Amino acid sequence: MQNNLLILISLLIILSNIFLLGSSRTGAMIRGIAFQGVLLSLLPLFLPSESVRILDIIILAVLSIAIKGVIIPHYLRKVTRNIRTKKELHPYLGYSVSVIFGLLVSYGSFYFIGKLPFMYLSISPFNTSAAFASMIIGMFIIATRRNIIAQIIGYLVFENAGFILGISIASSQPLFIEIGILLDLLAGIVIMVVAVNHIHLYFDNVNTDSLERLNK
Amino acid sequence: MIINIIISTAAALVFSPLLIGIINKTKAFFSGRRGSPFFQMYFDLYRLLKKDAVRSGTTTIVFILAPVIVFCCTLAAAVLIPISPGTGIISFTGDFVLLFYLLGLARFFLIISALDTGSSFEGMGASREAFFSAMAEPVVFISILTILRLNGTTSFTDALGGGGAGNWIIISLATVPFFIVMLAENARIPFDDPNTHLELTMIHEVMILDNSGRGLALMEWAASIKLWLFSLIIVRIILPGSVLSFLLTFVIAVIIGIVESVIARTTLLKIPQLLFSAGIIAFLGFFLSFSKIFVWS
Repeated sequence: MQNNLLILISLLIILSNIFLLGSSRTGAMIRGIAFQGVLLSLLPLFLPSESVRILDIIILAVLSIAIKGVIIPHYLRKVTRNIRTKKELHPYLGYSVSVIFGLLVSYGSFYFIGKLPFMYLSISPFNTSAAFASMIIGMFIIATRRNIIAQIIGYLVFENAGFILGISIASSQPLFIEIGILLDLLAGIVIMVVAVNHIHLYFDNVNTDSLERLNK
Repeated sequence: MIINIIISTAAALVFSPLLIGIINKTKAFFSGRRGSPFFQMYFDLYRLLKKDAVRSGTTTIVFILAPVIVFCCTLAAAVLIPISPGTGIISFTGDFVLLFYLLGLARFFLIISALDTGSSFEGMGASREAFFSAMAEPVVFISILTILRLNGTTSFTDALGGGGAGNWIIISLATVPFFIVMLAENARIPFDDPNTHLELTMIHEVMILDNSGRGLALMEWAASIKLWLFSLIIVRIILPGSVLSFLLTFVIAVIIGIVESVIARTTLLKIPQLLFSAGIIAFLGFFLSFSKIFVWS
């Protein structure tokens, strides 16, 4: 039963990755990343209870829902409203190609993770493969999108993958490390949001292309 | 064998117009109307079958034959699907190809009869039908391959006519795209609006605009049998072991009614995107059915 719920969550994470790859509107992407954040935050609840303290788990889950599901999406939505960017028009790679890429990466990681030797450490190999796919998809989003909000979301996908991997081997590391990383992430996003506002102020758009010429 | 054929044929002929009635009643309920009676389509078919057909001067024998061929092909496809475990009529490797190519033959004649009327309006509808069904077909085949793989058989009617429920996640990853394709193939709302006759974007209704009387009755009946066929497949995928599971097709009709009530139809340009997403979900299910680390207990 627990295993089934874990698999369901991992599958929803994969589907939300694919949704992020295929959506052009920043609003939809922010909703997608918030959904993914809430899903991830449920993962600590499935850890084997003898290896970690129950209080740690609850603190981590609540903090993670608050930060990934509420605070970061809120900031992103605010900055999106501020810089009035709704839709990314010309990504470097088309949406359909991105979605197909995401699908192939997900399948590749199912295949690949099954062959890795350290699987006995993790709570579920399927989970780890979802994390592995998320990592590549996050980098892919950063690399193929021009819009800076989309790039931040790509970074968040990448970070989420790290979170899943961290949770998967949590029996051999304290959960407080995860909580520390969460706070770092929050600080990072706040800095990024400030940076986006400044970029918007100087260049009147938020495409990273404009950063090629810094001596404007 | 003979009994099975008679049961399947009778079920397809008798129950299919009821599905349309249930959908319309659900939609009426959601918009706060009383709606037409559940059996309205039976009355309509009876009325149309009594009437003589009027044909335009440009039409040829293709136009006269098309309703009969469309009706027969659709009915033949519907009869192939077992309505309860062990009532399959034929089963062989790759029988789903026969099933969907019968539907393809029906569609082909629908399209050329639309072209035969010589109306550019109907030609437009025919072109759209060909385009969208070409996009829907791979999704259907991928979903069906997933189901076949889950059941460990190469015959679709075997997979539908028996066996236990398996891996729910993969089944839903195969059923959801199939449901989306069902909406597309049967010209239901996110793809096409069955109620309009005035829009330039209609697909199915425009192709049967010139049909009248008996021809129209056969076309409409064939369309409802196709709906019955698709919902029966979904029901048999979800509950392969149950004898009375075909009654759940009415639940599927209610779901279609709800979908039609709560979402608007998409613009014509977005239809390929919708089918593409359905295909992606179907492919994910297909890949998962091969994965070794996907352990479902």
